[in-house]
Amino acid sequence: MIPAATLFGLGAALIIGLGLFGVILHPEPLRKVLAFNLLGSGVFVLFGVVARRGGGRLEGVPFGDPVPQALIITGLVVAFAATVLAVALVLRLAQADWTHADDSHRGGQGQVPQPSPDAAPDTSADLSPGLPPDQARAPSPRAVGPAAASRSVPNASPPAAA
Amino acid sequence: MSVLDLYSYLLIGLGVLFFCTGTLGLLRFPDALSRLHALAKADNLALGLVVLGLLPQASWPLGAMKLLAVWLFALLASTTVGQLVGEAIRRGDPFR
Amino acid sequence: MTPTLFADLGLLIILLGLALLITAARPAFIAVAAYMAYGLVMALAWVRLAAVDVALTEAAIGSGLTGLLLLGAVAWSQRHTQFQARRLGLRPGIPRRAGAGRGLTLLVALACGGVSAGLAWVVLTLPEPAPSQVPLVQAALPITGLGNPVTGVLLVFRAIDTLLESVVLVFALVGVWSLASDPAWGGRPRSLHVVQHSGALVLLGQLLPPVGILMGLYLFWVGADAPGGAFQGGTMLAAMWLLVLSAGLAEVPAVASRRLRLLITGGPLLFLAVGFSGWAFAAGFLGYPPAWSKPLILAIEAALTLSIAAALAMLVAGPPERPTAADPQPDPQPERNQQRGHR
Repeated sequence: MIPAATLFGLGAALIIGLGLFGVILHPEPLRKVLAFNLLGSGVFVLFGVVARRGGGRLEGVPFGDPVPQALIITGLVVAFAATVLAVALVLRLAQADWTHADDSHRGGQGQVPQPSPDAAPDTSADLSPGLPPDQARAPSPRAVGPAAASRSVPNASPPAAA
Repeated sequence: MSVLDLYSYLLIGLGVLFFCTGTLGLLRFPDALSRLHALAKADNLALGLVVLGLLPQASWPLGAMKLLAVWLFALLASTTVGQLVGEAIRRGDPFR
Repeated sequence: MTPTLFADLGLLIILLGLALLITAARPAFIAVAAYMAYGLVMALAWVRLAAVDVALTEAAIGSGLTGLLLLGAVAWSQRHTQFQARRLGLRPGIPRRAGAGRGLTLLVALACGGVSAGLAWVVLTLPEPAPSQVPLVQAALPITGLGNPVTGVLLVFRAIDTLLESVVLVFALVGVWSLASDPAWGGRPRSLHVVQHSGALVLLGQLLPPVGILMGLYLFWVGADAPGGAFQGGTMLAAMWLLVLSAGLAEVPAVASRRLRLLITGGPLLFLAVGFSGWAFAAGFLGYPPAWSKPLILAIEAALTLSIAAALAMLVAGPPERPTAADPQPDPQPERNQQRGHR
């Protein structure tokens, strides 16, 4: 007879393997971040299994070892902070890619740009409706990089105060 | 098994049945709006039945009130989400 | 097979199926949606592992906030891909990045399977009886005046972890804000910018926050004696703030705002101050004088709850940005979209 904790432990081992697979093989950075979260979740469950085994039952109510549980809560919050930072970096990188692609495209290289990370073809219908192509071409995108930043300084508005 | 237990089994069983119906609709209906309809209608009813079935098993009155609150919040959430998804579909957003 | 084991097995199968979907689904949107569902089911699994505090955190942060963040990121990158492709005159459907070859995929799959097998072996050979800190915690908990051992560990026995964790949130926010472009610095994050008010969302934004804020404060308050605490309560408050912001009922504060910065750093600073005063009034760093431990812990938790709420909400809101042409535009014209549909 397998106790429930062991069952979840085995599941966690599988989840860790799946997450690791995604982290290594997914070509899109956002999906890598997602897979890393999956991997982390598996590790937390594994730790949770250790916590459950260290606990017991009090008046029929099961309880776990509070020390690993507290560490898991800390871990969840820190994992979220790391995820936010990673996502912000990925999006910034995508912007930088586009600016780079823009430069090489305008320079007549005709180079196919590195697209932003999550362009799934089957969900790629329009998200920014109502923008005709001519209007869409006119405004400059958010500038990235030192050169680009200086380019867009003149129309910078002073930062809004609270 | 007391009468109340029987009542619980009956209502929770009925709720599970409605959950299955809603899920069937989600999987089988042709377009997003009707899938949304199946989900919102059947699942809210199912959750309500499960909550009603659990009421006699919960501690009175706090536990029972918490259960009812869960149902109310789920109703509020699914109403709002249904509306938002519907608006997104009308706008032609790609998430469908 | 007992009924509970049957239920656990079902829970595990759902979790593994969702994990497979997260890894294998082709559209990023589906993977993120699966991740949110995974977080909720995982919260149930935590309850089954007798970790209700963790379950609350998992549902709030693991599923809710992380899901919201990733969903926003996926929408952003699709919108920008579209916009830039149109601007550069490319075909709107951008080819995907090339994946790994078949041989490499197989190799990695084997390696990851090996890791899983190794971990499974570890799980099956965990020492018996299991090592436990429970007796130590139970012996020391009465001194703290707390009833919830997890809160006791978080704020007394391993307070240094919690202190550093709250500082990590502030640092992560500094990191995210630092990614702003120079002209946008000091401005407002725009990821939650409302293009078009939705009646339903506005109604929810008016109805839910009073209850949600009460629930967040309750979670913080009850954390001393029952599952709950600063992180769960703070996340709840953050969620309510994000709801109000994304309904367009309030404006996202500018990152240069003094009040916002004070709110975000207040909790960790108070924690640090109490920690250092431990040298003067108690056994050492992060020590509490026994008679004062419960009020001090509650004060720290109250300040931490507010700081965590503000930090989490601002983390989800992202770096300050300036309006761009790739932002969603108001007043949609569906017929044009249908002409351009690329499905």
